Amino acid sequence: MLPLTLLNAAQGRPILVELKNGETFNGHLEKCDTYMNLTLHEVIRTMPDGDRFFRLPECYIRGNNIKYLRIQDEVLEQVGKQQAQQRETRGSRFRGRGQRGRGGYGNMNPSNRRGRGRGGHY
Amino acid sequence: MSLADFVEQKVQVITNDGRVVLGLLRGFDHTTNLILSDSVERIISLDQDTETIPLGVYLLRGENVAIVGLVNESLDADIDWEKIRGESIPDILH
Repeated sequence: MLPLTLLNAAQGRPILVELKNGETFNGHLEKCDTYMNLTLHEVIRTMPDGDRFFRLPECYIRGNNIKYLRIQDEVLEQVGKQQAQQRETRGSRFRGRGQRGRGGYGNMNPSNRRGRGRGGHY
Repeated sequence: MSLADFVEQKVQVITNDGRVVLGLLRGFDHTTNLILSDSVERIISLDQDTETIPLGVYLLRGENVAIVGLVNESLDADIDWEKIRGESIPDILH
């Protein structure tokens, strides 16, 4: 499972972000992008020493500043289930096709490339 | 020869700030961002017993990852981690 897939699935859920400088941001993940930039709503920012706290109605975190994120177990389970279901539907879609005749180059090896343009000598 | 070999197995990660995190590797990407589930942090110090802190699902940013090691579960179980003392791992210097 791709990390950014998990992150996208966590939208709308509570999340904890720790930055490289040791500050932590607890809030609801609003949006995220491929750079791991985040917007959080209803945030509690804790300073590195744990001595000061701030409440921010919303904040934007530039992805490169992030050390790690903590996400709810349920989000991981949800994504796991979705991916399993997708694999099932894809599988049943192709199971019918396979037997119906191959087309293209079945059983290709150098000896049977007659008449198909062998590539000349230059 | 990549992290794909470690997926769905227990790994130990050492981060750039010297933290030790263990968990089940669920996924990774080309920047070494990692997903760990059922993760714990092991805090090893010289003056007190090793603390093990449960962390749940961890998404580590690749920039911050120094080492990912495959845990030999039987060897790991043979160690009484609580009794272990050691120096803390220093931060990565650039």
